[in-house]
Amino acid sequence: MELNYIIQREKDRYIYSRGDKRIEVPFELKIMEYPILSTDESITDFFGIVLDPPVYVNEDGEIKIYVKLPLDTGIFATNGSSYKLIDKIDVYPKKFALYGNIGEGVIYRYWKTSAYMEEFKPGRNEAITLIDIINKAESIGSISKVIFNSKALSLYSFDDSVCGEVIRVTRLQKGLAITKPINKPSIDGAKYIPTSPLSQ
Amino acid sequence: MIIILQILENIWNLIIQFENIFGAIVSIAIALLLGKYISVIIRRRLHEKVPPSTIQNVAKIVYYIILLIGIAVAIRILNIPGVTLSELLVAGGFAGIVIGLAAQPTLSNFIAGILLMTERPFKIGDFINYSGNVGMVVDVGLLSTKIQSWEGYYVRIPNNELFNSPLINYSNSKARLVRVQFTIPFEHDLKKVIQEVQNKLNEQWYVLADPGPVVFPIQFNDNGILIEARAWTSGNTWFTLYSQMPSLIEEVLKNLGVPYSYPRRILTEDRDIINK
Repeated sequence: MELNYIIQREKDRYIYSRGDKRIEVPFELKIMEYPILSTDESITDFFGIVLDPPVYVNEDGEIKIYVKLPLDTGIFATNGSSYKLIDKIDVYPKKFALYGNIGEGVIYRYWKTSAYMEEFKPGRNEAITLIDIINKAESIGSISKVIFNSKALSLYSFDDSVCGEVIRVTRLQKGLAITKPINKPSIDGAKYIPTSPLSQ
Repeated sequence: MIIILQILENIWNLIIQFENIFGAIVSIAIALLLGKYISVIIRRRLHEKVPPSTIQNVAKIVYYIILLIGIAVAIRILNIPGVTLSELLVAGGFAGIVIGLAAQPTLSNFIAGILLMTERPFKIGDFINYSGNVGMVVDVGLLSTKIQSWEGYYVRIPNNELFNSPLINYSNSKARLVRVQFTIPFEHDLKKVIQEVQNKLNEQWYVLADPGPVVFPIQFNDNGILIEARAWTSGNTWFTLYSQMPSLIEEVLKNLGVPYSYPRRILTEDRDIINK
């Protein structure tokens, strides 16, 4: 996908322009492009991986799966230590869904994907992430959705590709699981992308 | 004559007791300042913990209670002969009953205001619908609630009415359903229309994938088949779906060559009856 933005030098600043958007950035800052998780914060902070087909885990069992995550492109102004998102180029059309009931549930960014048992090299605008599912319930578990706060998920780079943080899902009982990123790259040795998560 | 003398004696005593008057004024002044100070502290301490409207009303109530205590203390200091605190309380009680009867609607609004603050069926910024008045809550007062309508005007609703009547709060819902009904003539392929409308709705980013849109026939009427399309969307994008959905359906029907279903009657001619 063509990103179609232009950065021009002008006197004491850079001019970033894309379509009707025009942003002026002073010379002491750089404009850089980084991958960001494809979400829409104006609708929701939650991201939901919908596993198709669902993954089954034996009672007191553990399973590790890999999934693809969608990435958009973030344009950042940076002084080298802190980063400010100045533009976001959407690569993926977004869909949303409701988890739970209308009153107390959450709206999440809907992302349907298959579960892979082996590590794979993600394509352009994709990230690979490892989901570690632990079943502590006394029944066979079926995991069809992994929903987490997108502001808590870090991204890492490796061999010109992107991977996400390991997400641990602990199933406690039927219909109840704890999901949290565990501050560890899905691929060993991957380098932390400093702009992620976006809330930092 | 005796009464007049007594009143004059009382006034004389009051003049003598100038110190008491000064004390009373000081006590009211302290009550005013203390009330202001405590209400400011309440506003600061409860900030971010309690909704702004509740803070404002709690601060007001505390302020007036402190002021009333100040007035009671002032009366005590004045030590007006024949007027004791207990008598004042009894008189206040009677006055309360009289005022209560006279100001019944106001009091019921006040009590409803307190109940609204504790139960909190809505907060400032929520979109509500009360008896057809749809708008955003901009202020929740002790006696009334103010909403700003879609059209931009303000509607003041007494708290008593809000508390005792059915009220819809749109902002409490994470997702909203939009329903649109349309009719197609009998000659057209029902299954195809349903499938195409469903696909079109599914393509829209603001239509939720789960629960997904559903389209189904609900009635066979004189004009054709009445169909209902239902789609869910997030609370933030409700108006987008509400305003777009009829056009999306119309676009699908146009592409399929399905015309608007007019009312119609089919007349048949029986030649034998006519010839007779």
